[in-house]
Amino acid sequence: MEDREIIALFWSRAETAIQACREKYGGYCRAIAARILSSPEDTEECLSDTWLGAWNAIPPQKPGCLHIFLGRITRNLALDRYAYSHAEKRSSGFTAVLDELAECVSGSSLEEDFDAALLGEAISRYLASCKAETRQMFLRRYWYSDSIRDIARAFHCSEARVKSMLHRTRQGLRTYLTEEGFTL
Amino acid sequence: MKQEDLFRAIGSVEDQLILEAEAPKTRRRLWPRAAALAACLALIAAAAAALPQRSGSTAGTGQGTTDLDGSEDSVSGDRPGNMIHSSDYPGGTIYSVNVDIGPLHTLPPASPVADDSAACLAWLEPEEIFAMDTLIFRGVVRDLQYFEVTGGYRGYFTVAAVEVTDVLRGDLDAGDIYNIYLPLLKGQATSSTAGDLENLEVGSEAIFMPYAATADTGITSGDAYFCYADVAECWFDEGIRFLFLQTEEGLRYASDVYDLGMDPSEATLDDAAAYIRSMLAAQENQEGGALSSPGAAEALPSDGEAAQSAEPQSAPGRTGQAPVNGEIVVDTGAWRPREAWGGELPNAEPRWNDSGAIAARQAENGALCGYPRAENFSPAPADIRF
Repeated sequence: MEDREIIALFWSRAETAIQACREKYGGYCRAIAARILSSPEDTEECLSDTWLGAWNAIPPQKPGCLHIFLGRITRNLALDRYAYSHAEKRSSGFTAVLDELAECVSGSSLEEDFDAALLGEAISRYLASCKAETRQMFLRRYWYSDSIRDIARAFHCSEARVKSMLHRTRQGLRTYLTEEGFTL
Repeated sequence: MKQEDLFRAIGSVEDQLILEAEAPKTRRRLWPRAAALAACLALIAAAAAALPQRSGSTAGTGQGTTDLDGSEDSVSGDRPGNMIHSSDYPGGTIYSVNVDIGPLHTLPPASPVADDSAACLAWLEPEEIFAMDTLIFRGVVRDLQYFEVTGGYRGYFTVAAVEVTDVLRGDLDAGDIYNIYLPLLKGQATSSTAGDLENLEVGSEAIFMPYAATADTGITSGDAYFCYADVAECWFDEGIRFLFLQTEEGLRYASDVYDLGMDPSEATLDDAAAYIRSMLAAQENQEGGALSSPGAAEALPSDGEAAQSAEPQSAPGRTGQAPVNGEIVVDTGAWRPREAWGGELPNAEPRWNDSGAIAARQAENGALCGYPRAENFSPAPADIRF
C-alpha cells in the first residue's frame, strides 16, 4: 500500500491504517526500537505505542515521509522507555551512543525555554554543510543508533575510520551549535 | 543539556537527510579489496601446499555441495577464485520484515534447471523494454556474493558488485560500484528467466539494465517481506532481455528482440551500447514530440491515471504517451505491491515449469509484461539445511 493511501486511512480514521503501518513498517520501527531497548518485550510495547502515537498524530499531521515519521515516534518513545528502565543499570549498546553524544553537551538540565525543534534545525544545517558520507555516518549512528561495526560495513571502511569521522563530526557540531548561540 | 536531549533533537533533522543516510551511495575503493583477496589467495595457496590433498567432504552421498562451476562434491574453498565470501554484507535490515539475511558459505546441491525459459516471457518490442524505468549502464563485475534468506521467506540470492564504466541511463557515476540483486544462485533453478545472469563471473563485462531498488521492491510471503533495497542498490527480475553479456564466444543477448543491424555473432558491447543509445535518443525525441504537441500538457495524467495508462489495452498505442514528471510510467510487470494480490502469496506457489499456474497468474494480474514476477521465485526447498 502506498504511503499516501495509508495516510488517507489515518485521516478517514480507519483502523486498517494501523495494520497497514504494522505490515509495511513494522520491521523498520522494530529495528529502531531494538537498537535502543535491550528487552524484546519493551521493544514490542514501544511498537504498539508507536502505532497509537501515529493514530493520535494523524490527523492533524500529514507526514511527507511516513516511515521516517513513524521512526521518529518510535525513537522518541524508545528513548523515554530507555530512560525509565535504565535509570540504574546502563549497559546496552545504546548507552555507548549516548556516551558519545555526551562529548557535545554539558550534562546540565535544560532551560525552560529550550526548543528542541530549533536545535534540530540547526543540526540539519550543520549536517548539510558536511560531506555526504560524514552526515550519513552521523545519522546512521545517532538517528538509527547503528553499531560502529554495521556502519563500517555499510560504508566499506574500517571501524577506526568510522569512529574518527564521528568524533570529528561531534566536535564540529559542538562548535557550530555554540557559535549559533545554543547553550549546550 | 543532557545527551538524551541532544539525541532527541537529532531526531528532528530534516527527512531528506535521514533518507539519504538510509541508502548511502559509497564509492568503494578497490585496492584494499584486491589486497585482501591477494592475501586470502596467498594464505589458501600456502595452506594447500602444507596440507595433504583432501577428498570431497560429502563424496558418495549424492548430496554433495556444488561449487560455482557447477561441479558436484567440491568444496568452495578448494578454488580460491571461486571462493564464496560474503563479508561485505552490511548487516541489519531497514525495510525487510520477519526475515533474516545471512551469508551463504556453501552452495546447496544443484537442482534441475527449468526448461521453459523464455517460453513464459511475453513478447515485448525493444521500444517497450527501453520505456521501462530501468537503469542502463555498462560495467564490470568485481565481486559476487551469495546469501540466503530465512524466516518468513526462504530463498537464495546473489549480489553482484559492478563497477560502472559507462552510464547510458540513470543517475549513476562512472567509477562507482553498485550492488545488484540477482534472484539466483549459480547452478540453481531459482528462476528460469535468469538468462545470462547465471553466467556472470568476476571480471565479466556487460551492459546491465536493472531496476533501482526501493522500499517497495521485494518479495512478500505471508507476513514476511524481503526488500531488495536492504541488500543492493538495484535488482534484476529477468536476465534474458535486460543483459548484454560479453563472453569469449561473443556478445550474448536477446538477438530475437534487439536488432543491432549486424550478425549477432559479430556484435560487441560497443555495438550494443551504440544501439541502446540510439533507441534511447529516439525515445526521448518521441517524448519531446508528445510534450510539444498541442494539448499535451493538458493530457498529463495524474499518478493514478499514469499507472492505469500502462494497462494492456493501452499498450499498443503507448509510443509517445504523455510522460509524468519527465518519465513515462510503465507497468514493468516486475513487481506489484502486496495489496495487488491481497498481501499473501497464493497457497500453491507456481514453479517455472508450471505453465498453467503462470498463465493463470498472468491472466489474474492482467500484466502488460507476462514475464514472471519477483515474488514468484521458487523458495528454497524445505529439506535443504546448512
